[in-house]
Amino acid sequence: MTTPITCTVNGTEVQRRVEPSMSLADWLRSDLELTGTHLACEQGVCGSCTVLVDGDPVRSCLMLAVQADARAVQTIEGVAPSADELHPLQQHLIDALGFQCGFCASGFVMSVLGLVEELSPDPDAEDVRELLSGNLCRCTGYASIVDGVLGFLRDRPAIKR
Amino acid sequence: MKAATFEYHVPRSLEEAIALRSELGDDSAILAGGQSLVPMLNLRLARPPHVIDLRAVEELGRLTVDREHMRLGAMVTQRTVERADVVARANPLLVAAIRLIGHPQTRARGTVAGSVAHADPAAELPATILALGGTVEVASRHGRREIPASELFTGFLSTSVRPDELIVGVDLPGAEPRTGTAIVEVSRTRGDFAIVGAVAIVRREPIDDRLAWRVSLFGVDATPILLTGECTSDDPDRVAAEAAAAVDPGSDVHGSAEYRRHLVRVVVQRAMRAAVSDAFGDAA
Repeated sequence: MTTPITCTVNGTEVQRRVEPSMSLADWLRSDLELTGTHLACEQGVCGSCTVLVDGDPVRSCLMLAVQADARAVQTIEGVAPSADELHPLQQHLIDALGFQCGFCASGFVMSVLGLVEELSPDPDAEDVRELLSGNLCRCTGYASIVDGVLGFLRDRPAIKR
Repeated sequence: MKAATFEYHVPRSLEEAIALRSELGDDSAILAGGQSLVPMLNLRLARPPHVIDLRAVEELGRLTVDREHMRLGAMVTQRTVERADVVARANPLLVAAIRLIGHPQTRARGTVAGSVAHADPAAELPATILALGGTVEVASRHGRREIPASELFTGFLSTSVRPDELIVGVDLPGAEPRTGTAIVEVSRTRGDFAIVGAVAIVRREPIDDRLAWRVSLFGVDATPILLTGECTSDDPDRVAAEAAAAVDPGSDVHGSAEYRRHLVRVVVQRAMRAAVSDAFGDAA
């Protein structure tokens, strides 16, 4: 028995009927074919499924698609300004050789974008590690990801609290 | 694994939500933030025939703060409380406890009431509500009633909320004067459930140098444990020793009983020292 929902995904209004037991992650991936959001633990621990809902980073594996009704969802596919241009955070992560297999990457990007406004004005590596503590990576040991995020933060104009 | 299917209900008013819950009873699970329920659905540890989603009941999203009292509606998220300056001034302990819960990504959806209702023995909020002397308001077709925290937690993942009742809010008393607070936990990684934790509330007595203390422990038993007593300002460590002797923790994959007992002493010592320091730093 499906339920109608209306929401925006990456700025575009979407109207669909969804099975209530379907997670937001599975709906984005299979109904909307936005497979940049990944699933691993499906318990809210690893962060690979992180997307933004109304600007806040959330675990899309722990949200039902029906709960996205009337909300604005942003996924990794909505981050780069165009097909030819990456977001500065993405570019800095690439320049720092931030990722290896890339499975965790979209979750890290969405978490940083959703939490960056809460950083202190002059964040250091420790602040960045704290910011990233909700995302797991099994390949890199995190140093390269931290470097990429620090590079992005240094390039940004002063962050307001 | 994926969640099993269920009948889905999204009541548009509190009356409708109460009526549904009263009718469906324990054939229904309440969906607030979903940060405890959805993992259980995904693992199929829970297979409720019905799910009642409270997202459209606007009045449950209200947070009210005044000098005497704080009221958190059942749908108020942990992040809302964490970010509210008015709460930071009125109840810094609540904000400190919430900052230890999971990660910002889970706090964006998880609710204060939901964490209290779930009653995980290693969770911060049940122990904090117990130490603060809060109450939970529940509603059913028979009316409303208030359950004090001391009567709420009955066992592992169990509360005295009846299957036909719906939690509508959590009520907390206002800050007490001359009081210091702290919460300390030990977990293997940032954001993990605590192995053991302690909430300490210390009040300076007006006459001599005595302190009245309340310590609430989590992770040591099926429910949070509240200990109370008096001490002088230079022996908070004695309270820690007494607390370690008073508990009988079990062993599991996260820690042996011996290790937990050792951690009780560590966290109570740290929490008591911080709370005493906070009590004396408070000029009021």
